[in-house]
Amino acid sequence: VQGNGKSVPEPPRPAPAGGDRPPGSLAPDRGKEPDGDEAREVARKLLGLTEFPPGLVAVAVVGTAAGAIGTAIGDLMARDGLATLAGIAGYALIGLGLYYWNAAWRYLRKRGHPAGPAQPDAQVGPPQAAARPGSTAKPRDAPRRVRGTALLAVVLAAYGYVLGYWVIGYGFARGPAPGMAGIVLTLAAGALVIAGACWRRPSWRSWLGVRARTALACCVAAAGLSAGATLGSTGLVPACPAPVELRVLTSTEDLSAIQAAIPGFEQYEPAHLHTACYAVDVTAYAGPADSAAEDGIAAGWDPTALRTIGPRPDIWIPASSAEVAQVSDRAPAGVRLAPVGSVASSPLVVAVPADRAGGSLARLAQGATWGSLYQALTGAHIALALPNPSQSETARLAIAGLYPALSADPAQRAEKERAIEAAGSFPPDSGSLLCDSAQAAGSGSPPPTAYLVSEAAASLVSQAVASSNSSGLTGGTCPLPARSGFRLTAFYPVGAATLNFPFITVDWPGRSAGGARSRYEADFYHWLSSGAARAVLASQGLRPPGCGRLGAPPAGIAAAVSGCGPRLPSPQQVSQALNEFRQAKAPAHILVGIDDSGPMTQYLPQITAAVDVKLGPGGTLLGRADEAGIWALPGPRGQAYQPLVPFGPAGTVAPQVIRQVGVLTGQGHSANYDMLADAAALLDAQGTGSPEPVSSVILLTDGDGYPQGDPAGHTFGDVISDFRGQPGGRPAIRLLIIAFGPAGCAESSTGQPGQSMASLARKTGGMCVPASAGDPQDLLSQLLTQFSSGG
Amino acid sequence: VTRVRRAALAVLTAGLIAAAVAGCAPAPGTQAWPPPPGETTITILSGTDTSVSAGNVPASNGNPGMYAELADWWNRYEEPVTHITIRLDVIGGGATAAHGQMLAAAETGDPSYDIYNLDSEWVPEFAAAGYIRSLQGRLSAGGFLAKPLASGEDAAGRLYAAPFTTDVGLLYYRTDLGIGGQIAGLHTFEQVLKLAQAAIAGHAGPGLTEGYAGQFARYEGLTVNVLEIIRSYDPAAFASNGTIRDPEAVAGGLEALAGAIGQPGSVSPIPGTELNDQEAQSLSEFATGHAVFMRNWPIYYAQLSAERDPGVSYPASPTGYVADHFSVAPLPFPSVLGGQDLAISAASRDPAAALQVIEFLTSAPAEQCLFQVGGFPATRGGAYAKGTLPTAYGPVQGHPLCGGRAGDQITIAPVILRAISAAIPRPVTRYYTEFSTVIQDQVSAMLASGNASGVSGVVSALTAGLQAAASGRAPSAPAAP
Repeated sequence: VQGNGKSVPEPPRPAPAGGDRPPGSLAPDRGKEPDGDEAREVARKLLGLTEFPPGLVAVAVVGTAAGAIGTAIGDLMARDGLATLAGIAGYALIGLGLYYWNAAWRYLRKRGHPAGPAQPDAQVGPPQAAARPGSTAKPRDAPRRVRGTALLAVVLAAYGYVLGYWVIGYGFARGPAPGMAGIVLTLAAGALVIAGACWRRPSWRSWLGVRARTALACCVAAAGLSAGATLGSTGLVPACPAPVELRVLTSTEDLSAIQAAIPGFEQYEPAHLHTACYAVDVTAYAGPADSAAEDGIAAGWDPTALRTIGPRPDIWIPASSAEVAQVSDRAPAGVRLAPVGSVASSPLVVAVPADRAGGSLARLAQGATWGSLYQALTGAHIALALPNPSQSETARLAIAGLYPALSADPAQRAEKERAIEAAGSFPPDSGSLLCDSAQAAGSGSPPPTAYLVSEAAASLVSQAVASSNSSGLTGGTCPLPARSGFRLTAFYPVGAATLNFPFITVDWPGRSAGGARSRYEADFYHWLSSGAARAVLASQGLRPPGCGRLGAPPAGIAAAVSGCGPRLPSPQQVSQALNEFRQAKAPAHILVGIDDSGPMTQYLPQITAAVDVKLGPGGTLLGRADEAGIWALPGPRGQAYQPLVPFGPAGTVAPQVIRQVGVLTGQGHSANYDMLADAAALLDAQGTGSPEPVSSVILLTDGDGYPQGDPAGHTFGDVISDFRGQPGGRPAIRLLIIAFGPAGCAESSTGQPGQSMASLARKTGGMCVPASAGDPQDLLSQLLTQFSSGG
Repeated sequence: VTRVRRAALAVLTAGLIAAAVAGCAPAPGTQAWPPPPGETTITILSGTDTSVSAGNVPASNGNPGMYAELADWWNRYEEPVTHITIRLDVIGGGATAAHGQMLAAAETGDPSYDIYNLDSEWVPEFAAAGYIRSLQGRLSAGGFLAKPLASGEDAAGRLYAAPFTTDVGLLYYRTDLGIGGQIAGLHTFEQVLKLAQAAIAGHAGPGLTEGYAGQFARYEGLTVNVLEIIRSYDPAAFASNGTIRDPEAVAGGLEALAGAIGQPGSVSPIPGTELNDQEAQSLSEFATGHAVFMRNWPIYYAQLSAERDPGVSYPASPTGYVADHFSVAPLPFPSVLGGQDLAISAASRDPAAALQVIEFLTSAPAEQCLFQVGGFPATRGGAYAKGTLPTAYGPVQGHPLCGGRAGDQITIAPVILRAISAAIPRPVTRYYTEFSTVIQDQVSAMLASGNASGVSGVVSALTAGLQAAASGRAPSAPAAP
C-alpha cells in the first residue's frame, strides 16, 4: 500500500503544469466555470456535473468503453504480444482523436460557428476537423496543448498500468478476494490523492474543468489500470515448480490398480499441501515379470534393468512381502528397502470356467483344501494352468501351497506335478495367463482348464467380459475379444496365500534421503490407504489389506472370503516347491525358424543380434535337458529351409549360433507352410521320453510369401493338423510367431482374416506377438521362458 | 508538424507500455566450460531406439539400432583421438517411463548422466527447471532445418538442446482408389473424411472398412492426432502456452472427429476399434488393405514398401498389393513436429566433452545415417540428398558409419521436407505433460462415450483445464479423502 501511496500522487503533478497555462482556445469554457475553492465543488466538476448534463453521460460512456477496450487489450496481451502493440497504438490514437474531436466541437460551439452538415470539414473526419479550426484560430497554442495533454495521457496510462499490474493484477493472481481488495484499495487511494491535491493546490482543478480532459484522463487511467490488472493477473501467477517425479515399480498383478489410483493422488496432493500447483508426478510401470524386478533391484538397477524394466524405482509395490525379504538379502550395499505397509490384498484362487463350476464342484468354492480341490478338478477332467513359478510370485506361492498337498508320497506327488506341468506353457504372470486363455477361448474351444491366479486378475477378466471393454489385465494391453464367453468362478482353497502388496520405499546409494521426495512418498502411501483410493483399487479387483471385503464384486468373485488372511509360506516351503517344479518340468524341443526372405532384409540385423544373445554361448534360456535347432527359410535352390544349426541338445547349439546365424541376407520368398510341415516332421521324429518333451516352433517371419500356395503344396490347414497332437499318438506342437512386417499378427497371405498368423498360432495352442511390441531380444526371451524349461 | 508529433506521442505511449510489459530477457551466460580432463566417459540417457535398418550389418560391435551403431563407431574410431567414450543407457517401458526416469535423474542432480535424449516437447520443461545447460552460442546452428532447430529452444527462444532427429506425420493413401488426384486439394480433416467415405462407397466389398487410420488410443499419440485435426480448422487454434485461442476451431475439430467414429464392426470413416490404436495398429490396418488413409510417421514407409513384389505374376497377398498401391503426401493440414533433441545435463561434470559428442551425433554424417539407414527424419537438409553413405567424421577417414545401403525412405525425402516446413510444434510450455494429460482425459472420455453432442461441454472443460495447465495447476481442487 505504501508503494501505491508513492506512485499515486504522481499523476496529478504534470497536470498543474498544463493547468497553470490553459490553452487560449479553452479560455471561454474556463470562464464559464463558477469560481470557488471548495473541494465539494471540484468533486462535482470531476464527476462532470456541470450545467451541461450530457457531459455526464459522455464521461460515463467513454470511461466504460475505455475500461472495456483496456480489458480486451490486456487479455490480448496475455496471448499475443505483437497484436497487442498494434492494439495499444490504435487505442492511443483513438483516445487522442476523441479528445480533439471534443475540443473542436466545443470550440466551434462557443465561437458561434455551428458545426453542422454544412461544415465541409466534418465529412473529412473528426481529427482533421479538429486540427483545422485549431490551426486557424490559435496556431501557436495548439502544439503546447497537445504536448501537455499527451504527456498527461502517457503518465496517467503508465501509472495506471503499473498500479493495475502490481496491485490489482497481483491480487487476482492470488484469488478473487485479494483482487477485489486491490481494486477497492486503488480506487480509494486515487480518490484520496485527488481530493488531497485539490485541497492543497486548488488551481490545478481548472485544467480538469474541461469535460473532454476529464474523459480523457478517466479513459487513459482506466485503460492503464485494466490492462495492467489483466496482464498482472495472468503474468504474475508465480510459475509452478516442476512436480517431483516419483517412479513406482509394481508387480503386473497390481499395475492397473495402482495406475488407476494415481490421477486421484496427483489431484489430491496440491489440496493436501494447500497449493494450486501439481506437486508430484507419479509414473507406475511393471517389469516383464516379478523375478525381473527382483533381479533388477538385486543388481543395483544396472543398465540391463533400466533397459528391460524401466526407470529406477523410488517406490516398489511387489506382489508379496516374501519378495522383499528375499531381495533384501541379495541387494548390494547402500540399497535400502524400507517397508511402509500393505496397500491392498488379493488371495490366490483357482479360477474355474463358470460353466464347469456348478454341480459337485460348487460346494468346494470356499473352505476346501488344496488337495481335495485338486482331486475334484481332476475328477471333472479339468486341467490346471499356472503362471511360471520362476517368474511369478503368485505362482511361487501357489505351488508352495498346492504341491505339498498333492500327496504325502514323494513319488506320487512327482507324478501329479508332472501331470500339471505337462501343459508346457507358463506365462509370466496371472494376467498374461488369463489373457492368452481368453483369446484362445475366443477363437476355438480349448480343453477345460482351471487357472491358478490372483483373485485380482480373475476379477479383471470378469469385469471386462461383463462390460465388453478391454481389460486392465497386463496393464491394459490385453484386448479381450468381445463376447468371448470367458467367464470364471473363483474357488478359494483354505490356507491359500494372499498377495499383500507391501509399499516399499527404495533408497539407492548416493540418493539424498529425506526432503520433499520422502514426504511425497509417505503421502502417496497415505493416499493409497484412504477410502477414495481403496474404492479405486477395489474397482480393479484388489481387496483392502488383510483380505477385507469387496463392496460390489463382479460375478464369480466372492465378497468376503472366510479363512483368508495374510499368511505366507516360509522361504523353505517356497524353495522346496520351486525345486520340485523344475524337476517335474518336461524338457522342451524348440525349433527356431528365421525368415530371411527379401522383405525381411531390414529386420535381419536385429534378429541375428537377438538370436546370438539369447541362444548363443551367453544365453541362459535353454535348460540342459532341452533340445533345439535353428533353420532359415527359404533354403537354397527352391528348398523350404536351410538348417543353420542342426537340431540337437542345448549344449551343442550355443557354440554354433554366432558362426551360423551371423551371415543372413534377405533373398527370395519364404514358404512358411512348407517349412512348418517339415519342422513338424522333424519334431515328431524326435524320440519321446518321460516326461514327454514339449515341442514348439518359434517362427520369426513377416508372413508366407506364396499367396497362391506354397511350392510343395502345404497349406494353412495342413499345418494345423500337423501340429495338432493325436491322443495316444504324437504330441502336439505349439507354433509361436514373432510377426515382423507392417501387418503384424494380422498378416494373412490369402487375405482371409481366419488365416492370419495370429489365428494360425492360436489354433496350435501357441501365440503370435507382433515385433512392434518390443525388442526382438525381449520377445524371444519371453517366448523361450514361457515354453522352455530353462528360465 | 502537429500531426507528426501526435503520431510520435501515440507511438511513444504504446512503446512505453509495451516495454514495461516485455521486460528484458537476460543474456545467457557463455563463460567457457573447462576442457575434458583426459579420459572421460559421456553417458547418454535415452528412450528406446526405434530406428529401422536398411539391412546393413552393424559397422561395429554388432549392436543393431542407429543410436548404438553411432556410439559404437565413435568408440572404435574417435575415442583414440578424443579420449571420450560414449555410453548409451536405454530406458525401457515407453516414452512416459523414459520421461519419468530422465526427470527424476535431473531432479536429484544425478551426475551419472551427461546427455539426455529428450522428446522435443520436454525441452521447455527441463530448460525452465534448470536441469539442462543452455547451448545458445555454443552449438553452431548452421545447416540445421529451421523448425527442428527451434524444437530445441525453450519458450523464450533460447537454444537448450541440439536437434538429433525430427518427425512429422504423413498421409499414407491408396493409389488404386482413384483419389490420388484429389489429395492436393484437401485442406481440412472433414474433407479427408469425405474423400475417404467416397472411396469406400465406390469400392464396395469386404476390403475397405475404415477411412482414416489414426492414433486414437489414450496416450501421447492421441494428443498429437487431436492437435492436428483441430489445427486443420485454424493453425493458431492453440496459443504457444497451450491455452485455447480459437474455441470454434477446437469445437469444429472435435465435432468432426466424434462424428466420424462409428460403432465397432460398422463401416465408418473411423471405426470404434481405432480407439485402441497406436501407430503399430494403424499400420497393420493400412497394410492389410482395410484403410483408405493412414496418418503415420515416415519411419513406416520402408516397412510397407519392403513388401513390394515386382517380379511376381500371381495375385499378391493383401500386404503385397497395398505395398504396390500406396503413396505418401504431407498431411493436408499442418502436422505436429516430433523428434528428439540432445541436451547436456546441468549435473554433467564434463559438459565440454558432452558437447563434442552432441556435435558428432548431430553432424552431417550422423544425420545422413539416422535418416537414410535408420529411417528417422533428419534435422539437417543435407541428409536427405542421395549420395554415398558417410565414411568419415573429423580426423577419421575411410570407415563407414552405417554401412553402404540406404533404405527406401530416401525416395520420399522431398515429401518429408515439405511436411516439415509446414509442421507446427506442440505447445512450447514447461507444463507440456499437464497439457497433454488434459487433452487425453477430456478427448478420450468424449470419444469413448460416442456422444458428439457433448462437444461444447468438452470445449469448456478443455478451456478451463488448459488454462490451469498452462501454469502447472490442477483445474479444480478435489475433495480430500
